[in-house]
Amino acid sequence: MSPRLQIDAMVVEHRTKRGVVHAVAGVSLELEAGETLGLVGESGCGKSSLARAIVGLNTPKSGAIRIDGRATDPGRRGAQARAIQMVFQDPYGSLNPRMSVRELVEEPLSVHRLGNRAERAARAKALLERVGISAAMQDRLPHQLSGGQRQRVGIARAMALEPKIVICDEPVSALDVSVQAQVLNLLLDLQKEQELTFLFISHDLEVVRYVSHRIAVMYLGVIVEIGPAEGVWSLPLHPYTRALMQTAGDAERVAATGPMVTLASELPNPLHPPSGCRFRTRCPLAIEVCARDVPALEDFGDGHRVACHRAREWAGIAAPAHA
Amino acid sequence: MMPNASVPRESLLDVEGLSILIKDKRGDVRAVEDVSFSVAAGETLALVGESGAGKSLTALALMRLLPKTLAVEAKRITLAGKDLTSPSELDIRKVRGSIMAMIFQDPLSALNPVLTVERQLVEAIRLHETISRSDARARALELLDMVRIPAASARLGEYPHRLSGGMRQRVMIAMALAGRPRLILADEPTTALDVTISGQILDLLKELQRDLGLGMLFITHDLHVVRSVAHRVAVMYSGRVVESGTVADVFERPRHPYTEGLIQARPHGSFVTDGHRLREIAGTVPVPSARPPGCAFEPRCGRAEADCRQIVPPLVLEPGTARSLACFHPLQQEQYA
Amino acid sequence: MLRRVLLSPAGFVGLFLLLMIIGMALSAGYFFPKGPWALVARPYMWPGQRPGLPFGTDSLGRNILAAIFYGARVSLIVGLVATVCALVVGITVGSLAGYFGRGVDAVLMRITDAFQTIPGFLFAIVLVSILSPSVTNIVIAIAVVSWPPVARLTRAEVLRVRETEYVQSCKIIGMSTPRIILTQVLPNSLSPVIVVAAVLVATAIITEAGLSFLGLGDPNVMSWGTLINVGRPSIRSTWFICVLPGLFVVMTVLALNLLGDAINDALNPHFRKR
Repeated sequence: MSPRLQIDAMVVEHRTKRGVVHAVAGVSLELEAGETLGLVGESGCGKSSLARAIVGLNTPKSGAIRIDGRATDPGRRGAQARAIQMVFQDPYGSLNPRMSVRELVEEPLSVHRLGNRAERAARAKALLERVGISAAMQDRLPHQLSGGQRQRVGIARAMALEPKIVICDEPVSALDVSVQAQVLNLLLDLQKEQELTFLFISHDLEVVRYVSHRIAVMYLGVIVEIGPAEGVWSLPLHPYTRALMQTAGDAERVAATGPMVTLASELPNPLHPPSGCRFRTRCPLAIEVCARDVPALEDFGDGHRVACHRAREWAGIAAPAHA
Repeated sequence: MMPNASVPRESLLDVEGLSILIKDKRGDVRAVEDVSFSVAAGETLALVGESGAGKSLTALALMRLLPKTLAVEAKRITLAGKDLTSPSELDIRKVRGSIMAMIFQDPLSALNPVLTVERQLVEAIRLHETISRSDARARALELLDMVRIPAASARLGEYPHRLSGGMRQRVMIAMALAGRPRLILADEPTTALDVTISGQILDLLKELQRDLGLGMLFITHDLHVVRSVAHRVAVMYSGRVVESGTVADVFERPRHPYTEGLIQARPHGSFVTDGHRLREIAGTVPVPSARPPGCAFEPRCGRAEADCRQIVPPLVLEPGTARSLACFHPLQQEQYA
Repeated sequence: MLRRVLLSPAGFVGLFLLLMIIGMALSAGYFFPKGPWALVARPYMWPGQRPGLPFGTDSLGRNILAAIFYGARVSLIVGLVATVCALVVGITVGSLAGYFGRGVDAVLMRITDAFQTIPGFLFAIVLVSILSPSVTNIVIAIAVVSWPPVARLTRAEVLRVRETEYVQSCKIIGMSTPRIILTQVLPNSLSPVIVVAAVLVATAIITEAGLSFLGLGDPNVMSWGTLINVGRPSIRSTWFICVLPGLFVVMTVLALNLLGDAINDALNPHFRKR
């Protein structure tokens, strides 16, 4: 059985006046049907470029995208639209300010000529009610709704074409905490109902841990760690992951499983990434080999893979059973 | 990790009964209603709340930086012994920067894009001290060192857009410290920064507080940040303070249903592993012009009763504790072991 | 939106004046069936000197009020048609340049630059001198020099809208590029252009009046500029022949500017007081 979504060695380039930046420098991922892969990383790591390439907004320099085993053709946007959709971060910028909420949800149906006008209107109405926008609100314009409501409209619009894969690009980051819970519950309910596959991008580690089956950590265009969510959370192996967990999670928990990692300097210039391991310029644990050889993703058991020359030194600390 | 709240300190800022009104022909709307709190030297008070709570407005009101369409009323505001309840323009200008300084969320818009770091720092320094430009430059270097900017003399000649987000925030903090203030108002200073950078900035602020004995009013919506930087916290909802106390106390034993809801709404654990849904707070924050007559949280509260609908619960100091609470039917202390 | 325009004093006055001018243009045939060229009395009669001639007569004895009514037609037609042409060309060029960027943008913008360097009024004079002086040629001349600012403005707005997430969302749902441009990008880009359109109409009217004043206008139509030209030799004595049509030019231009301001405020929520 082919995986629902497969990305092979994707490279996405950005041309700038000063040279070419590899926003995504060779990323391979596989997602099974009904699975949520959480993707974390800070600004400049390339997660947005990766998302946009997968969904067809950017053309990757190289690398294949396969849905259910079949390669997608970046030229034929229409066919891909029925399979992959996206939920955006900004509830204020992702809806056309001049269209009513109902029109926004009907639009995808009308683009693909699904049903007649009455059927589309009925489907839009049902979708909006499913996400919690009552019939009374459906004729309103986006600026008349709250942030949480607008995000729900965005979700209804993404669901209109019954996609199998949804890229969620920081879907709750711009919302208040109390509203985040509502939207996350909604996304998880929809996932269960329709066996959706989510690529869930967020900088918020607790949110990612909560929703994901597996977590992938990106840094400067490459995946540095990927594995089962609970595994990565309780035993972060890559120094960058450890640094993230330390600041955003529980420093004591991190300390119990290996070395503490405090990042001193800033992101290196993406035009000239460091030789060998890209993370070494900020890594307090870097040694000589880190500047020479690019670390490959090694399997530490249970699908938990890490790209670090030194990870096996502390991999045994918390769970000696780890390979 | 959490700052120690039990050491008694001198009170630096005392605010009693602060209200902010949006003036309108059809009737003034009370964006912030009867807010009271105090900040001591060397201590951080976090003002926590979601959008619409009025926390940023409160800080801007203290600095009198609100537009003319908003009116500020207060029973009493005292800063370092000075009465600032109804200050004249001159009074407030003397205080701005030299006793009370502010740092903002977005350093890119808070720094002038056409002036170098040196120009802006020197300008800030000379506003509060009559010294020569070269002495001011030396002090600017000192300030950049204080905020831990590496290669400070090289940075002086840079323009803000050439610096990273974390650097810009440090420059903004340096500018705020130029006048040797005693109180810092920080309005979501780390919200726009990556998590690892924001960790560094929070550590810096804690260090500065320790070294300079600063009082800090820290505005944020992020409970983690509160835990890592604040001694005491005041939770705001729809323009009012609903609960306040030490961070440990309020977070471990929240008594106001909204505080509890906020803490519980954060994702924890894994849905995949145990299938538990997140606890939602149903409904949305009321618009200031359409608040219910009684407690503003009542329509969303699982513990509400008839009196909550009719009377606004006053903020009451619990005897024998440092906790204040505005609720008629709070969660009981007995519920916590 | 119309309501908001009417509520502002500028919008109300502007719209009122403009409707009055339009009313004059439409009713010219009804009030003055003999047309503007008819000789109705002796020349150089002062306004009000004879009942039925509230604006007096010009150097040939024609009814000035009738001339002004018919002149309104010319001004409005020239203004409207020239502006519509400029908008069609400008919006097309600007939106294609803005949406497709890179090569297309570079080529279209250099063409726009070239046209923008042409001084408007002089070009109109040259064109009318080379071809024949007719309303059509005047409209063409005005349109040719008026479209570049429209193109620039449209391009700037399209550049902004192109990057919004709602446009990207439409690409993701598989919407075709022409549909995206027509249903998403243009409706959200045109507010500033509408405002500029009001000013373009005013400029066209002044240009036409100027051409007619210089004797380069269409000799078959009676325009306000023609009348001003007729009154020029006797401006020291019977100055009303120049001033009256001149006042109407001013009034129309003022109305359009006020209307443009009011529309600008109505479309821009940030500048409005709640």
